[in-house]
Amino acid sequence: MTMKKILVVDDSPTVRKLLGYVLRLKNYDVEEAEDGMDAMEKLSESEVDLVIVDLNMPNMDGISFVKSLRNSYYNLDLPVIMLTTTNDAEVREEAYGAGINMFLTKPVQPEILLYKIDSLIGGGA
Amino acid sequence: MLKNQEFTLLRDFIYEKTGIYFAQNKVYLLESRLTSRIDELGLSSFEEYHYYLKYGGMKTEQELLALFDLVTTNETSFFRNPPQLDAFKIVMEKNYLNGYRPEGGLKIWSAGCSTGEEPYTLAILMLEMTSRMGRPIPFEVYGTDISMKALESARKAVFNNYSVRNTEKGILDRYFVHKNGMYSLADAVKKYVTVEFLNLIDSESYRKYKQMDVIFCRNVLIYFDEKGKKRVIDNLYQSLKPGGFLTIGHAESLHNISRGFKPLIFPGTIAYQKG
Repeated sequence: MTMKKILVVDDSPTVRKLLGYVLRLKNYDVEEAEDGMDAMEKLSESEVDLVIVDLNMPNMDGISFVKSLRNSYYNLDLPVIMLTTTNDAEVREEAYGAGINMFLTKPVQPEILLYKIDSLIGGGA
Repeated sequence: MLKNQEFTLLRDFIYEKTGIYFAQNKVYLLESRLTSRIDELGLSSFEEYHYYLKYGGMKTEQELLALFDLVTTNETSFFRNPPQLDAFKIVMEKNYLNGYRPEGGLKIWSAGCSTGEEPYTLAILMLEMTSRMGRPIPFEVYGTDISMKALESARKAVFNNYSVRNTEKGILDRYFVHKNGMYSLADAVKKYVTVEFLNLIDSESYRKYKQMDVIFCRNVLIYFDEKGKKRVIDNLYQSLKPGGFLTIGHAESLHNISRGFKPLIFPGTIAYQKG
């Protein structure tokens, strides 16, 4: 069985490293992108099963990224979890409006994150 | 041998005129391309050549064109990178061929068209699509390049085996005349394509190229440094209609270059839409 791949999109290398560590422990394959634009380019090159995206990033933020993805001609149904320090109700609503599947607030308990991922795409290989 | 100082002079001169940037590690590439030209002109050094380019009076302009030929690479073929052409077809079918009637027809631009394979490929794809739909849709394809030599060859539209190596037999039969090992493109395709000189770094020369629906600018950005890339992409952005599409080379990226474009994913590739 092939490993499920998760794209982690965050401008902080520390966050990417940390999330990558947690996900790899559960046998997910992990790819990283540093902002929304980078993520779109990565998605055009490789098959991904789920995206975890930050909100505030240079070049292209999380909400613009989701809008762009949902307007695409391929892979537009890809599950997206937004993971951000914000817990503003308006931002949350805007993110859901743009088409995210789930909104989680940092810091998140690894068990909770993994449980949510499992509920969207199942466990790692 | 190209001395360091001479290299810098020529490199800066070429950069100023074309936006094409030869990094220090490309010194041998530049040297090998210019040596025979310098011999042809009967000059004795790179420094003299630089002087000739700068102060050659009437000859300067002509020599610049020869220089443009020397510093560009004309690697291309018909139906290059199928995922990007499939994306073009998807865009056409979903956005343009269903009821959309642009005034004056669809405008498609191959920027950096080299010897013409790309603009002709796009014209063939348009003809295939519109004939399948049974509804003729007016369109024009523009091909531009900085190399006069490449453009001359594009206008002739006679291609060798290598150029058409990825072309389906059905397409070859329909749109080419095969004679003496060469493939001549049919006038039925050529009439849709206009081939002209354009220097992508020169914003002035874009005036004719406005209100484009689709721009292909593949494997061109690689020649430019960060600043040059930004300028070219800005210019191309201005040339597109709102909602128009830009396709760049498979290995190229708009990351950190332009925020005006919205990236969209297609099977195996990406294209950028003007917001």
